[in-house]
Amino acid sequence: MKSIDELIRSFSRLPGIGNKSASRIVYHLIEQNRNDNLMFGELISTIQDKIHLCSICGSFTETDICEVCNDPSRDRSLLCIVEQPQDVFTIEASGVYNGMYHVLHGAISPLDGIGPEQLSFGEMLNRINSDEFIEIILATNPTEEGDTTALYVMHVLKHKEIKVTRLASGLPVGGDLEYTDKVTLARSLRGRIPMNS
Amino acid sequence: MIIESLRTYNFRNLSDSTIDTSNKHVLLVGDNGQGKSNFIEAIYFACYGSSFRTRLQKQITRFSKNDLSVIASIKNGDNTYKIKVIFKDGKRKTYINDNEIKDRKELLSICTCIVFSHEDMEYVNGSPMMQRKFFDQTISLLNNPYIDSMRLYNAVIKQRNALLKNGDESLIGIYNKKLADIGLEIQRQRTWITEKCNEIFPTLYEKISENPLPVTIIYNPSWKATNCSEDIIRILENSYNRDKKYEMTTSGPHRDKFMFIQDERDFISTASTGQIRLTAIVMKLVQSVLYGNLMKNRPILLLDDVLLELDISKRERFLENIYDYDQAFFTFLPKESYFKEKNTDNITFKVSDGVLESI
Ligand SMILES: [Zn+2]
Repeated sequence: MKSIDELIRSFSRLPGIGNKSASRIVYHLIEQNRNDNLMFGELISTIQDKIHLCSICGSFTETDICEVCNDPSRDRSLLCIVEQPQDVFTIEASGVYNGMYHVLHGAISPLDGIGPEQLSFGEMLNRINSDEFIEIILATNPTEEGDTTALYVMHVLKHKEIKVTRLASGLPVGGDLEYTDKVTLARSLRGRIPMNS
Repeated sequence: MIIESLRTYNFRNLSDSTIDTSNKHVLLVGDNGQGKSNFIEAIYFACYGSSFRTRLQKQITRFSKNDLSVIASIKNGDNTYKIKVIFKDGKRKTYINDNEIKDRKELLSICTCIVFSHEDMEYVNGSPMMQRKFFDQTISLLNNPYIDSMRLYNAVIKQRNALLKNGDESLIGIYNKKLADIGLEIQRQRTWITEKCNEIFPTLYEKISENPLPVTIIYNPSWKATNCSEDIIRILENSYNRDKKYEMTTSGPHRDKFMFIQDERDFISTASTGQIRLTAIVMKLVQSVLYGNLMKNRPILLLDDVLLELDISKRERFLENIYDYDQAFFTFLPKESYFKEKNTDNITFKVSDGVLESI
């Protein structure tokens, strides 16, 4: 049936959902309480209106400034550089970091046409120039692209008197921060390695 | 390690069945085109999740079928593993003991088989790329993380080439440094494997060929006289204009060469087909000896028709020199089996029309 097929196709386009799971979800939706479906539809259709990027760090927020940037108890001398907003939530869940974040919204990859201009390095530099950070923590993914991005940050900060560290190894090579378990992530945050002296 | 049994489904012309292969010597006898080599290929497929004959799934799947699977029971030390490789809906999935694995690299720690086949000649007299492939494969067998180094090197080369084409030139310094670091690691590994091969190859080749002039291997890296990444960065900086013009990285381990030298001259360009064939076979033997020596484990040997290519005396000397293995599979044409006496070490299968029948 056309409407079933279309919905299955929409679900199977989502990350991590195959054809099989997609059809299970759709048959479940057909059977379940109508109000639940209405609420679900409402949530999906309004998510992009409610969520936008924090005007300071670039993470997701429902207000102008995100909870982390707004929280007076956070350590404003630490700045953690990540690729995606999801990475902020992953690190928050590990519970060992109490500093600030900056989201680049991607990683450098000439193959994909992504250079420094496509990412928020300008905003990052402005923050580092005007705020009083003591340490910059590079938490890009342990991939070729993440590594290049971290080296680029080092390059940009070369002439600045600021400590730069990187997550300790132990993260699975080629993986995403997002899929790293909490314990491993906490360990590599605590054992971060100095990149300059 | 021992392959205890192999089950194939829709694999080339092999009939769907489970074959018990727990003997030390498994002899496959049959006319050409009956399925002997396909069985060897299926074992390789179970060990590495890929074929040594083709990269196309369609070619190993039985005519007019879409899905295939190979299941092997492999004994390594005290452990028995069930390896399953399937192709379904155009996708490959690999399982160890029914748990799906993400990276086929994990198979390497379970089972190592070394295949001797006619195509090995390509490693000796083929393109530099084929030669690099052989030595890289040998390093990976002895040092599994080398696969990650190669993957990273290839990823950095692709990025640097994209940058040369149309990227932000301010990034070139970063890619030069990355390429130098990972390239140097590859260069060191290739230097090491050349030394290791030279400890074994010349003697073994001399023994089997009875040619007293030693043949040695020389590694000829694209980046010369380099000890540190600073040297390489300088080379990359000097060749930047050329790289930019060709929109690709014109130097580095992807341009490395290997040579076989006899009497200070290139051996391969003047060697006979027989000598090239023997060089290839002995190189594979070197691979298996190195694996036995360095990994404290013994490989499974897959000998696909190669004995046919040797004359009787060389064949005997070759068989005398392959001692370091737990199990070996041989293919033979009818009436050509070189294992005369019947004993419990051996099992012989007659292969005809894809069916294996124990005799
Ligand atoms: Zn924020």
